[in-house]
Amino acid sequence: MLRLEGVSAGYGRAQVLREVSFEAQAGEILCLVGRNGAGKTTTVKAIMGLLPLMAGNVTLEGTVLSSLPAHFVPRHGIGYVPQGRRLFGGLTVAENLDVGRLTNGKDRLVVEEVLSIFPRLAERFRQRANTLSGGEQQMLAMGRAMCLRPKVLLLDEPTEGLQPSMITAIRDATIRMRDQGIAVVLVEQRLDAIVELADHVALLENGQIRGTLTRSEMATYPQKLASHLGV
Amino acid sequence: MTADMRKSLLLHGGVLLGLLALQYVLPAYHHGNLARVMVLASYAMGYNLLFGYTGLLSLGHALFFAAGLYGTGLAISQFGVSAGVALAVGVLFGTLVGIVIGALALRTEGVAFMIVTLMFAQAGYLTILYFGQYTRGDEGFVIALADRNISGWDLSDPSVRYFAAFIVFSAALLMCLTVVKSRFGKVLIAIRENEERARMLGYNVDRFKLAAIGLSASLAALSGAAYGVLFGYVGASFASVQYSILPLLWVLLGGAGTVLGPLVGTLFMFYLIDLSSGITTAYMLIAGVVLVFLTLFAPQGLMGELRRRAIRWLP
Repeated sequence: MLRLEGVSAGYGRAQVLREVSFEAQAGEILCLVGRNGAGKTTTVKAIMGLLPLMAGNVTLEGTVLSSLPAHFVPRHGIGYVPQGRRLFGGLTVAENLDVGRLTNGKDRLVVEEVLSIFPRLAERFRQRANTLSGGEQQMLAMGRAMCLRPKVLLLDEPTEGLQPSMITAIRDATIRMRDQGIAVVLVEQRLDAIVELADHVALLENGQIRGTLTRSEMATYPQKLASHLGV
Repeated sequence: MTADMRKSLLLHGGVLLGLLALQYVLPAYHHGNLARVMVLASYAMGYNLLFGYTGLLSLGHALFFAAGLYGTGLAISQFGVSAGVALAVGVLFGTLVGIVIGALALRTEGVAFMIVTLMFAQAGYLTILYFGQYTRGDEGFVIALADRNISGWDLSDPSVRYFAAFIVFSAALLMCLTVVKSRFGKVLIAIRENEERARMLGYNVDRFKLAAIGLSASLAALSGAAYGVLFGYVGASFASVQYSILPLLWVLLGGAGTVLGPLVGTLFMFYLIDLSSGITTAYMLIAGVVLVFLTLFAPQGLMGELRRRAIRWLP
């Protein structure tokens, strides 16, 4: 589905990623795990075309994304929920979802689907996004990305700083996305979330993939996973 | 139609009806003033589309206003076309200038965008002075009374002029309301709020910004063209930096990102200068103090504050 092959990228002349390769499959959750500064968010930005690649390429079902302008990447079916949510604060919940929906002219049904996954958003439908709580904002950020009907969903630390009930709602929605056949790439630092959600884990260190773990390997070598978490 | 849309329709319809009715009750002096304010408010509305809704701060809008003004004025004075055709020429010319300058200026962003638009406007101002044999330079020129009529309507007649200004204003208001409520408008607001996120949802942000500049310039050009045929004067001062700053000021005072803010801001500023200059020659001092207080107590502008405090559905 989504494949990275030998991707090197960075900011200006400062290289962060060094030949990163992995593949995210449909109907699976791939967790990107690494300490702060390991290059997790940079990897996601490189996929979205927000950073020019120094080498390698990103493909989605055989289509090379890395040669396209950044705004074409979502049109090919990649939804992105960035760290810190980044909503359109001056727009209402309804308008935020509409802006997500209208890129590819998706029908209104998709909004109904999002509201069924996050009923809280239906209660806040006419409220401006900057008046929502942190958890509600995260739901809206996810909902807006889901309005694209993505094939791949990139979630950058979606539960960071949220209260437990909200974390549960976000995790349930993530599982639902996976069960619908979406390939989910999840950047996560919480061990419990990784153990609960991940089908595969890619371990990032200093901008390089140091290894991958399957679900069973995570249980067998918990220490290997834990050593890549934290500051 | 949602309840908010109904309220919005009632409010804006009411404002238009009120403006229409005012022409029958206002004394001659204020009658003329309001016609001028409506034309200038249309200019401010165009500016608001770009600044208030898209988040692009241009310091070169006087160029688009002047392009409409001179496009119309020169079409009449140099080529002898009728006022109606000249008006269309002015609007088209101003829109074209807007799109070309926009395409160049959008290669920059932030402060650089402001500087580049300012520089283009200054270049336009100097061009008007340079071709003084046609434009009459700083002095400007007057459009003859005989040329200021459309289909037999004498635009120099106060009643006709007021009605024509009202039509221009109504067109600008309807255009802004339509844009703001449309998908296109929502994307512009999304770009203002977070450009990168809008791009990450698949929108070609540069194209939307260019379209916003084109639309904004077309309203500025329409106002400039209308100003020429309604008030009969075409002068280089309208291309000066002052006329780029004024719409910014009107929009900020009235409320950036509100449809009626530009009208309120233009009206407020016009009468603030008018009234204070009747009291003292140091009228800018009074105007300055009022503006400082307004900025302190209504930082989002008059309509912006109204929306924040009371009418949350205000578009």
